[in-house]
Parts: sequence; C-alpha cells; structure tokens
Amino acid sequence: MNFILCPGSAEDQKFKRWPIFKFLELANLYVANNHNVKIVIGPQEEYLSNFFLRFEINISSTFLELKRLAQESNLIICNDSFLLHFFSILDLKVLGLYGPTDPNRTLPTNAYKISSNKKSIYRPCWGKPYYGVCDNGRCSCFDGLNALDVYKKSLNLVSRKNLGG
Amino acid sequence: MNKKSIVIVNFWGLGDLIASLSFIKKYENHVYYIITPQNKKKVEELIKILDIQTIVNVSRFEKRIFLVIDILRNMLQNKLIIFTAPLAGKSRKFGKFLSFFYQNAILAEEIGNIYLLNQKIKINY
Repeated sequence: MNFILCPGSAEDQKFKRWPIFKFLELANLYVANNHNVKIVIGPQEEYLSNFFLRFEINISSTFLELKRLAQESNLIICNDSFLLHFFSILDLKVLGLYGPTDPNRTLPTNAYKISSNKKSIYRPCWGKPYYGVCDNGRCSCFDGLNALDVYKKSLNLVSRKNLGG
Repeated sequence: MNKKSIVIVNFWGLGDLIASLSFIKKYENHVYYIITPQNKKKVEELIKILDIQTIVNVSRFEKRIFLVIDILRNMLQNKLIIFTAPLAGKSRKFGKFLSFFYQNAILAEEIGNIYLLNQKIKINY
C-alpha cells in the first residue's frame, strides 16, 4: 500500500499538528510492514524534512504535482490543514488527524477522521478563549492519539471498499 | 449563463477557501468573483486544478482594508454577495453589519460543518 503523510499545518497554528515524532513513528511502522511512504511538506515547513531523512520527501510541490502524487496513493494522512481540504475535494481518500479543532465543523464530507480516545475536558479547544493553549499554556488535545492507533485505522480504511463515517 | 458575477467572500485561510470553492463547483452555471485575503495567483492555480467549469475571477487585494473596499465597490454595482462558511468571529460581525444595510447579501450559517453550511445556501439570481 502507498501512504502519504502530511505532517505540517500553518506556521501560526503549530498546535494543530500531531507531534512530529509520532508522524515519524507512523512512517516507520509503514516501512516495517512493507508499505510505501511519501512525505509532503509545505513551503513554510521545510525544516520538518530533517525528521524524515530516510523517506521520499516532496517539498513545496505545485498543486498539480500534489494531485498527481496523491492519485498514486491509497490513503493520505493530514492534520486539519489546507492539504486535508485540498486532497478531499479532489475526491481522494483522506484521513484527518483532529486535536484542537472540531471535525464536526471542518471535516470535509468525504474525508475520515481520527482523534484521541483519551477523555479531555479541553478537546476540542477551538472557539474557546484558550484555543491552542488549553492545558496550562500547552494544547493537550492530541494527547493519547498514538501512531499505532492511526496505523490501525489507516489499514482498516484502505482495506474497505465502501467507506463511511 | 448569468453574466453578472456573484461575489463570494471568504476572509479565512486557503484550506477554508476550499469549502467556498466546493460551493462554486456545485453551482457552475454562474460567474463568480472571489474576495479573499489569499494570493490571487495561488487561488487561480487552485481553481484550475479543481477543474471548475465556469468563470471565476479573484480579487487582487490581500490586505483587509482593500478587501472591504472591494466589497463596497461590488455593493454599489448591486451584485449578489455571499459570505460563505466559515463565517464566524469578526468576519461574521462584519457580514451581519453590511447585510443590515444591503439586502442583496447572503450569510452562511455559523454552526455546523462548513461544507454542509455552504451546500444549504440557495441562489435565486
């Protein structure tokens, strides 16, 4: 299977990013299980490429290049970011990682979502005065969402023909 | 095709703008003018990739003050102005304020999924 990981999001809202070391762990899980992984990184996120030196990385690709790249994949995994919306409107299979933002509000209607199962009084903190700094100055909305959870969900999604919900 | 363009207003990010473009894609029998703080060239490239089969022009302004002036200019031409979802916070207040004086405006609802909220907008134009 071919997976694309998009670990970035807007620079001014880094708290919307699932932790980078978890993305790396997820990428390693795919490789260890004989899947292919490509990393897509935006123009303001080039420094993230240092975490993925072992992997094929696409930096600052054009929309057309992104479209072509994604059409060869079985699933694209993104934070709640531009790429989540972009790949979804192209009718590609996308899994959104949701932490501080609310999937009921922004999840594209044809995309899939995963968020932490860990109970939190903060999540999602979007729209609240403490957005992005919900837990004593730190956003804890992604806490409890592990690489293995995302890995299992992704395999489940790619193995299903008619996806829903 | 109605030649008088419909003005789509979205003050949010490039990702959020896709919810507005999905609305345009649904109603391709109109001509549009998008007012957005996003880079004109980038938005035009996006429109091309999404294979939107109608004429969509994009505001060349990025600063909010010029975007507001652009809205006022279109109001003077009595164009239909649609504030698409997401429409919350200051941009919602602004849209509400304008629609108080200007009847030919539609405001997307605030609560709910931005794609579904935009699907609920009906054009009678």
